[in-house]
Amino acid sequence: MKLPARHKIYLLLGALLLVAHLFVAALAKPSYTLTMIGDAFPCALLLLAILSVRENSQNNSGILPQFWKLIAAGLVFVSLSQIYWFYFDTMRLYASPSPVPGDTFFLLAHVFFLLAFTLRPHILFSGRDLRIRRLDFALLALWWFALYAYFAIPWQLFGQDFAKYNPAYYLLSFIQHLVIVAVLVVLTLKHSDEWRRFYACFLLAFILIGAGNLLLSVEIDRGNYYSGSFYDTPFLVAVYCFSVVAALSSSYQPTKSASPDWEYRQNRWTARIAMLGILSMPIIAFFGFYEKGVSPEIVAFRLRMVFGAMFVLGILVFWKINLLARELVHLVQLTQASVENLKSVQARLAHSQKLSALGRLAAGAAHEISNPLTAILGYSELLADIPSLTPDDRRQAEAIQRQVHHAQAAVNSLRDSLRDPSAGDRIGAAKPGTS
Amino acid sequence: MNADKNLLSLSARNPGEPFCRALRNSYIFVSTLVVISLHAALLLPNGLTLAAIGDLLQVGLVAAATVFSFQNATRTRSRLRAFWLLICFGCGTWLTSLSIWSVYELYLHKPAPDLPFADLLLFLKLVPLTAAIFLEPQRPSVSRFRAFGLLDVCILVVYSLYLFSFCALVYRLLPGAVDVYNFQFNVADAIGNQLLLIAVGSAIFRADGEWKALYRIYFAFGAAYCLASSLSNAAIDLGKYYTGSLYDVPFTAAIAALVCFTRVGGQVSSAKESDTPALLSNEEAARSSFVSTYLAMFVTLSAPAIGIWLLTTHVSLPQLFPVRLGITLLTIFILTLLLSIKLDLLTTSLLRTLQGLSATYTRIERFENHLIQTEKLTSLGEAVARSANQIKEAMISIRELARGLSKRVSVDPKVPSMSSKIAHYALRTDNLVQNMLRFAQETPIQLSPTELKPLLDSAIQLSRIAKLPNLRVNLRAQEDCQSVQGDSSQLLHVFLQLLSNAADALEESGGTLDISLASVGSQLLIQFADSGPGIKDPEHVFEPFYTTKPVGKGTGLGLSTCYGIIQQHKGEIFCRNRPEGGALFVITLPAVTTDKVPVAAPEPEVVGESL
Repeated sequence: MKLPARHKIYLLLGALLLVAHLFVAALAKPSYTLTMIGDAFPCALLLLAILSVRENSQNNSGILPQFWKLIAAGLVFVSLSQIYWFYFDTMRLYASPSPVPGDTFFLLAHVFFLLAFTLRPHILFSGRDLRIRRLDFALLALWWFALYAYFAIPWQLFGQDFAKYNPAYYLLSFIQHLVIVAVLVVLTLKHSDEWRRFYACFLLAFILIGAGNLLLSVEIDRGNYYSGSFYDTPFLVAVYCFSVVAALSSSYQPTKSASPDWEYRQNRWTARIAMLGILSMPIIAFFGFYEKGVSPEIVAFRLRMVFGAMFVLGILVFWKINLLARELVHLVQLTQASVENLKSVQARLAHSQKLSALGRLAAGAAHEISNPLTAILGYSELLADIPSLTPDDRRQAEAIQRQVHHAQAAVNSLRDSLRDPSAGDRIGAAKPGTS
Repeated sequence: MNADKNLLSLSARNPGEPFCRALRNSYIFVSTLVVISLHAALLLPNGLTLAAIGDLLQVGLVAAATVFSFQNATRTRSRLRAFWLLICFGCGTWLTSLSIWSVYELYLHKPAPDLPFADLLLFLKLVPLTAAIFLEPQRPSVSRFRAFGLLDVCILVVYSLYLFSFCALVYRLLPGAVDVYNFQFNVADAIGNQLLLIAVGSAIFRADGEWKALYRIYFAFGAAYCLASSLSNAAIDLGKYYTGSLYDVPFTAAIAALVCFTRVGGQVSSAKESDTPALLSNEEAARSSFVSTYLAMFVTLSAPAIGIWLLTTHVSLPQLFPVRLGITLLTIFILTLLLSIKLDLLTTSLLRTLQGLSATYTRIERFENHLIQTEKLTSLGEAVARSANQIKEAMISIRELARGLSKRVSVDPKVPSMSSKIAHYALRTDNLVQNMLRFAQETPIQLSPTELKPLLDSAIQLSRIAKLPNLRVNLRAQEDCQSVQGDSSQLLHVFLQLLSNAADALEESGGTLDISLASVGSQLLIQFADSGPGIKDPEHVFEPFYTTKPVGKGTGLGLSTCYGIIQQHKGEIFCRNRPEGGALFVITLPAVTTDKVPVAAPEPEVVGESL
């Protein structure tokens, strides 16, 4: 397979970085330098992945550019989270005061990934409802963040309590990875061609990220982890996977085309899930209010957060209703216009139907007309032969004969035009039909 | 009252006679009731009799309003029905709360205790009564948006319940806060009343004709009720109120106005409902979604806002905080649920519209493809028309000449007879050609009394079926068959098509085709029964592009065109397979009474004597 030059460079650089990481992890002892190098590796690899994904977002067609942009956005968020850790680990020389910003970035990154995959990039579609779909995902992202803010953030905000914060955060990110992996498994199993490889690569990346994260969290809690160790390897390989997929699929084009209502049907399920998410908020708040053993300030924070989130979510929902209503009105008008159009086409078609029926009719009529014409001719000849006829009457009889000849000529030309190859074939074809 | 009456009678622009009568009766009704309750209040002392009169009068009136509005709902359709159902719901709620009080007062013989539930119902009735106005029943309904209207009403009901419980009802939980509760209730009630007045007032401006008059009655009800409830609330607080007292008179007047409203409303129909949905203009669609969307938005967003306000100020009434928080969360939940349903409905109808649209597009595409194929026929049509015109001219002059000859006093007796024969043949040819010409012209359907028997005869003559050797065509026509109101060339097309179908079916095997023409009641029945193999699926033959013939032979449009033509004639065409084998096509056409028909069909001469 021929790879574009830039992708080759990115892949090569990425491979070098990976090898370097393995080398360093095997040889170096924990130290400041190792921390710095260890934190720099993911940042560099992420940068390469973003660059190669960006490359694709400018080339592909269909929904693929959107897909790659979303993947790039997700990677940017992952990088932000990495840079956050990098900044505190190496520049400030102390552990970060709060994991909240880094974790937030990391959680939100996965919403982008999820959005990207549910676009189903292998299907060619108009992307007409993309605005509505983005709104749905904004709703989902907000809801997800609200869950994080509800369950995890209070344990950082009101006294750092990692024993309560960490499980909540791990659970949330674990669920997130599980959802993405499930989506990718379905997508991978459904395809057999190049798209299978495409989705399988992503699947591998996300399994690695998820598993690596789980391992990391366990080892951090045990105190075995240090930056630059082998525990970083799964994550680095996963990031490298992004570069690989981007390189492999640089020339992919969407293959299947979808019916237009498919988009809406898809969108409908996203919308339902988003609404379910919103519906869960007041319930969570309700139970949170009566939860025992939680300090009142946390309860107040949670309630305020829920009401605030409901407010913002409400605005998004109305934005969406507005978009949908406008779309509906547009479609209704389009339908009315097309029904008008259909009527006019039907009228034209009825006319042309009549013409083709006329062809048939004329063929029958030509025969039917010949008989009386022959009779008229015969009678007029007989008339002209009557000896006692006045010359004037005879002229009249001859005039009748002339007219009959005219008519016969017309019948003949009618027959000719029916037999005419340009029109005749068509008549012949249409003659027995029209049923 | 008189001034009011003048206004009312002026306002109705073109009201019908029953409407005016109903309007007049309603004034008499209201005035009578006002006089009765006034007399009762002034003449009778405070006691059980007065209370009974006052209570029963009110209960009876509200019950009447409920029944009338329900009757109206059963008689109407779509949006208007929703309107009356809402009114009925409002009256029913009111009736329930009034009945509870009456039972306490008259049956249990004790002063009515403070009943939060009855209060709630009394307040709640305002919501459907107001929401009904927002349905704008005077406008023709656009079915697509109807469902949303009802959802919006639900949202409004939930929201008002919420506000009422949040502001007033919670104080029932506080010991010793009855005064606060009463005050809050009065405020909520007054706000509700005034909102109703505003809504009806704005509706009066938007409506015209009978609806304007109707809304004025409704406004009169709202105004009287507003006055009555402020008066009686004040009197209750002062301890001067008793059932049936002077304070109840405006109440009675208000309820009587409501009864009139439901009674007179039965005479009013919605704006002229057209069979075909009117083209939805941009602004109308925008308006219909504007009100409902922004209303729902305001309502849904204000609940979390109230929640935040509650969190920041809950120190003032800590006892009420959990309840208020609970109902706020519950309201948010229900409102979100309603909104989700609304969203889903929107998406569903979007989907359906889209499917309809793509179906239409597909059909247009197929029609257009077919058009391209047949468009070349146009030149043929012209050629046929040209030839036909030439033949026609020749026949006209032959007839002239023959008529001239036959009039001549000739020596030979053969001359007139021969020339009349010539004229006869010329006429027949002329008729044939004219049929063809009429067929070739693109004319809109022209209905004129047409006899079917001659038309069937000429169709059989023209069709190729007459020339097939192994095929017999029997035409049985009832003697005194009536004419139909029809376009002879179009009907000829239909018959030709059916004959050609039969010819296709019988071409190879041979057989018989029985055509019968009979009048059944006010319908003419034409049946084409062949002895062929029958039709594969009779339900689909009239669909465009349905064909059982090999590719390239049939276009699958002929029968659908027939269907269209027969429909334009307000008739029916259907087909089925006969149990004894073969296909049966049945056409029914409405007959015209013969005595009114000037015999104008040109064909009879042609067919009268066949070859």
